[in-house]
Parts: sequence; structure tokens; C-alpha cells
Amino acid sequence: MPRRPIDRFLIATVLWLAPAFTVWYLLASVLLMPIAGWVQVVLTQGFGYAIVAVEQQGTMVDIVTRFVMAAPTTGAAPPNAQGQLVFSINALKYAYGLPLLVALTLAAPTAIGEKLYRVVMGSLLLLPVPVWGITCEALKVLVFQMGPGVAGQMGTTPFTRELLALAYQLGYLILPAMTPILLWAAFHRDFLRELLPQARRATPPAVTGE
Amino acid sequence: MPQLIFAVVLLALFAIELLGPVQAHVIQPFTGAIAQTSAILLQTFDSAVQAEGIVLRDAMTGAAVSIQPGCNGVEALICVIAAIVATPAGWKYKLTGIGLSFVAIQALNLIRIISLFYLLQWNPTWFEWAHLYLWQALIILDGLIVYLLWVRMLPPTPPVPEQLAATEGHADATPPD
Repeated sequence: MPRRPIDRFLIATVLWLAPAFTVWYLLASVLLMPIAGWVQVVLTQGFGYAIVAVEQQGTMVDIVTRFVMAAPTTGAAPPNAQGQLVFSINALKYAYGLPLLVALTLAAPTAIGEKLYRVVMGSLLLLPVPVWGITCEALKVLVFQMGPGVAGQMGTTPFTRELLALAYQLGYLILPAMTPILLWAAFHRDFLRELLPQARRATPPAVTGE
Repeated sequence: MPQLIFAVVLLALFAIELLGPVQAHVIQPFTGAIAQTSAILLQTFDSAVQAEGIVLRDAMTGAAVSIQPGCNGVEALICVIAAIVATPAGWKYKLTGIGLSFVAIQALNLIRIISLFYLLQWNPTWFEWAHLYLWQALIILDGLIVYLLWVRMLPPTPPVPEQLAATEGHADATPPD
């Protein structure tokens, strides 16, 4: 067993990752329910002129829009057929922060009740991250990928398009990975002080109680 | 205050990374260099591997992976840089930390790319799983590890005068390692 707490913690984190990801993936359909629910609220309330409904299909989220488009000519649809525009988003790619948070929390030396509390609180606080990511991807698809007809009806300006692009990239590339780390750090300040003697020495003994 | 510095630096660096000229003149060439480095490493035991721009290709099977934003380690590095800049320390230490983070993250990123390249040829489902979820978590975890180890390297910050006054008489304070 490694001597230093930091080594023990790092090894334990890596070891907890595999079971955390496995359980997360097996329970993904259930874990994504509240996320899909919140995405439904945000998109239909905030962008009701474009989006009618959000439907969860396993780990995918279907975005049902008000836009009517010509059916693909290669499909089974008859010529000149039209259909409601629906597209799918992989919700899991915004939600992998949960198993990371669970692995970090289980690896930290706290009581089991405290771990459970932090995992539950952390998973609740993580909810906005996939909601943000899925919402931004849905809007990005409508504004940038469905042609000028749909984009024109979204009522965007050059500035809001830039903002949407930034929000989407932030929600895809930064928030899902960074947020669990920040939450874990916020939940484990005492343990971090133990891991990082520098932080402890920086504060005089009378303040820290050493 | 460190939290504010972290957020500002993170958002600023990320916005800069997304700028068109930065993408064209820094990120794309850098990503191409990662593909080239991966190809050089792979060619030591697999001569069929070639790099074309940001694409890594197996000339025999035609299988190829394209190194896209999010797969070049830049975002993880931005997160660690923001954390290092926000941490109270001298700039010499900060630059050392940034250099170490770059090496650590890119070293693991090369392993990620190489593993994904072969995973794709073995099983596309596992490739997707590792690519979209597992490796993303491992890379940011790498960033966290480097950051924690860097903070441990820092010399102790001297206490402010008010704190020193409050601790008079505590001559048995924990000595530095």
C-alpha cells in the first residue's frame, strides 16, 4: 500500500473509475431521466416557437421540432413527402462527469455516510451540466446545421450565434470534465489540505489548530 | 479571489482557443503535430500507419481516426493552466507547472490517440465508449493529478503579518520538509 495519502488517493481513484463507469453505463437510461426532463422544460419553455417536445430513447434524447421539411429522397417516403424535423442527441457525452465524481468521492478517505451524501449532492449539482450541453447542442443543430430556412426562423443575430457557438463548445469540451473536479474539491476541502501540505503550512498553526 | 481568477482565465483562454485565426495558425498545426508524433511512435512497431494532417490512417486496412477539438488535450491543458495561474505562487513555479502539465497531458493524450486508433479497428462500439466517455475523464484526471503534484512542489507561502502576530509563541510550528 502506498505510504503517502496522495498516492493512495490517486490509485484508489483510478481503481474506482472502472466500476463507477460500468454502473453508470448500466443505469444510464434511468440516470438520464431527470436530465431529459429538464431539457424538455428548458427547450419547450424557452424555445417553444421551435421545439415541441423532448423524448428520451434510452441514452439518446430526441428533439421534436415544429419545423416541417421535405423527407429524404433515399428513404421509403413517397416523392414530395414532408415530415416534422426530429433529431437525436447522445446525452451520455455530456453526463460522464457523474462516474468521475463518484470515483473521486469514493477514493477520498471519508465515512461511508459522508461519501453517500456527497455523491447524492454532487449528482444533483451536476444536473445543469448535461442539461446545458444538450440544450446548446439542440440549438446549435437548428441554427447551424439545418439550413438557412430553419436558421432564419430561430431569430438569431451574428452576436447570439457567436454566443451559442461558445456556449456549445463550453458545454461539450469544458463543463462535463471540469465540473465534477470542482465539485469534488469543494466537498473535500479538509482532505485537500491533508493532501497538500503546502496549503497547510501556508496558514499559521493557530489558525489551523495544529 | 483565486476562484474568480480561475474562471476568468479559463473562459478567456477557451474563447481565444476558439478564435478562427488561433484555430488556423495554432490549434490545427498543433493537432497535426500530435498526429505526426502518434504516427512516428506507431511506426516503430506498425509500418502501415500514416499521418495526413490531423488524420491518422492505417494504409493496409484504411481505418482512420481524425483528431478533433477535444481530442488534442488543449482543453484539459487550459483547465490546468487556469488552476495554476489562480494558485498563489511565483511565476517561475507557475511556468514550471504549466510546462509539466503540458508534458503530462500530451503524453497521456498520445496514449489515448494510439489506443483509440487500435480500438476503432477492433470494435467500433468500444471505440465510441472509450472516446466519448472514459478517456475524457482520464485526461482531466491526469490534469488534476499534475496540479496536485505541482502544488506539493511549491514552497510554503509566508503567513501575512497579522497572522504572524496571532501565532506568536507557537515556535513549535511544523517545520518544512
